Amino acid sequence: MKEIIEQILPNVQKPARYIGNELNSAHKDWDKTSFKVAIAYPDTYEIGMSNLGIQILYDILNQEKDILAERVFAPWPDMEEQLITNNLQLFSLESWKPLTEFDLIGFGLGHELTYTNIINMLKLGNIPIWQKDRQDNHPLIMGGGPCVFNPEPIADFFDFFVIGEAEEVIVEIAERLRDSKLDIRNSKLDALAKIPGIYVPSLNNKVTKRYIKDLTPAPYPLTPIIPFIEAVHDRAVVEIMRGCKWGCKFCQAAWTTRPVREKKMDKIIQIADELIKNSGHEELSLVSLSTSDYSQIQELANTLAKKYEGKRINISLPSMRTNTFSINLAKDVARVRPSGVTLAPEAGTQRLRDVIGKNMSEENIMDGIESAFSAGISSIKLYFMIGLPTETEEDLLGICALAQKIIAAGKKHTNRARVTVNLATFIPKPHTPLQWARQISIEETLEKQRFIKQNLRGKSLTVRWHDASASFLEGVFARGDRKLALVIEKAWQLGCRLDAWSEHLKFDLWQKAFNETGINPDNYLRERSTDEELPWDFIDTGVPKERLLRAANPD
Amino acid sequence: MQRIQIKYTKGEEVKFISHRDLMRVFQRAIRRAELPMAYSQGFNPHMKISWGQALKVGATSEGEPATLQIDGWIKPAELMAKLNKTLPQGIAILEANLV
Ligand code: SF4
Repeated sequence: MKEIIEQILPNVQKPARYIGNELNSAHKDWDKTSFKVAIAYPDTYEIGMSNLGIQILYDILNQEKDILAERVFAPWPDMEEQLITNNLQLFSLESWKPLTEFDLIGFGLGHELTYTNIINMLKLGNIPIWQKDRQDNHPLIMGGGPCVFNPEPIADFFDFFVIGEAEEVIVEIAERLRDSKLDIRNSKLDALAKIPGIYVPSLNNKVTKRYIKDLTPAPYPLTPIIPFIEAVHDRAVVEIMRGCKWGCKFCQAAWTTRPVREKKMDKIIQIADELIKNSGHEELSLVSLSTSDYSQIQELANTLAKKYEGKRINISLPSMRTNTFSINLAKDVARVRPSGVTLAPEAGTQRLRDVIGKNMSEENIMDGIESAFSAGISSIKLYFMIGLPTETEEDLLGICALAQKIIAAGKKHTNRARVTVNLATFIPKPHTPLQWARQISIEETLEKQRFIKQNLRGKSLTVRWHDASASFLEGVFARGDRKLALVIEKAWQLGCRLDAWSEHLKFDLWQKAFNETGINPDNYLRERSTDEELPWDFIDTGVPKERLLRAANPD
Repeated sequence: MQRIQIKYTKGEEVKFISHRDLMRVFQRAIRRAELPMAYSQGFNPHMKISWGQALKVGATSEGEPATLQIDGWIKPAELMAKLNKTLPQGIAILEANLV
């Protein structure tokens, strides 16, 4: 196998995506390690390697003496072609072993538009895609990550799912499987179904999410893998907090990661030290959903900035609320001045921001903008959603008015002031107070995009928007049910791959897949009645449905 | 100010790494080794290293040249030892000499 791989690598773009051997990658003795896990991410190497969850699980598993974890990512089409023409199976990065030689394959699922890649990877790995077709000698297929808060569209492809934070339970899973002398697949699944947080679609019908109670002692990779090629985020990353105290009603990330947990400051500093030493990165990023809410953010950022003063290390604070405080803080700690700031008012009027629970007044926005411009920042990125519940033309005009107001404020400071307006289609997500809402159609999306473009003209203004068909598909699968598995398989058969990449998304083939399977996708975008049973109701995130309902309809 | 020429290997483990990526691997390894490098001026300063000709992707080599500019003073042997500790498998410095 090795010789053939060596021969095909020169024929593909970026062979470094497939070869492993990066600094800090784990190389355990294949023959002497009893339990073997493949950590799979159904997108390219660059995307997968930017995923913190993948690095955390890889590290935890490889710390265990008799467990080995290796990585595998979705191949680029040129590699897929080489694998097929050379009759090779998809192989892991570290030992170049085919997927069939692993005991467990765990997929990280961060985006609905990666689902055809799961099928593709299983097929290229010579593993039956349907759970029911797999035999005792096949690896078990596990899924985890944000998407599995509604796993139903892909449930028939997986043996089991981890609901919630997998690092809390991954070793338990591996031990249970390793220690079970049972070779029989069904007995393994029986054993797994008894672990809290594990959902075995063929067995259980209720599951409560698992989460880390205390983030401070939780395992964190101190020797992260350093890719040879540029990953999407090429920087040292310390997670400082999980969860978010703001209950924006559309925000699945916040509603599914409750409660809010902070990592203690001295631990963060200790981790940062190790990461800098072990990575050689020039940027240290303090990440969370809402970094300005970390209780000691100022002290933390200043301490780190002082510590690394002489080392040419830039400290970045993404996900900060844009206000005077955070602009000044970012300016104090960054070695390179950020050239732009990002603001997400999400809706164009106060009325609509109130409806969706976005706690941001126009005054907040303009204060933040003023301090950004005063700090010498010239480019502002604004994020809005279109198609929000109760939205009218007035709200869309509000987006335009706000952008104009900001550019006018900017021009008073500098002629270089620029505003970019990013429009995303609102996608109702499971386990949020807006999970019952209707998602607008592709035609309505295009119409609203056009309307905003027409009303937002100006030299220093740019409007960008999400592809309407990609949002459509994301919406269908986000609130989908088991029937959709057939559509995913069909789309894969027709040639859909890497759908999250606009250059690869073939929407006409998806339409064909819906037609041929007799499934009407529009049905998934409709408004749901509050007494309807939803496909993801069996998952308990810790926030009861009644609470979501109350948040959806206050008073 | 000092210039040290090194000779390094590009082994089996890294033969499919492009020249551009190899340069980044070196820069990171140098930072981990905390070598006193000279940096260029300007908005986005970078380490002063001059590289030999790029190897073909897929080819190994037993001796590729590069020259590092040092801001201060370090024994070539010490530089070599430190870097060999921080470089990934497949890349090793065989020689380091003042030029
Ligand atoms: S502030 Fe951001 S992360 Fe927090 S709930 Fe609102 S959108 Fe979600």
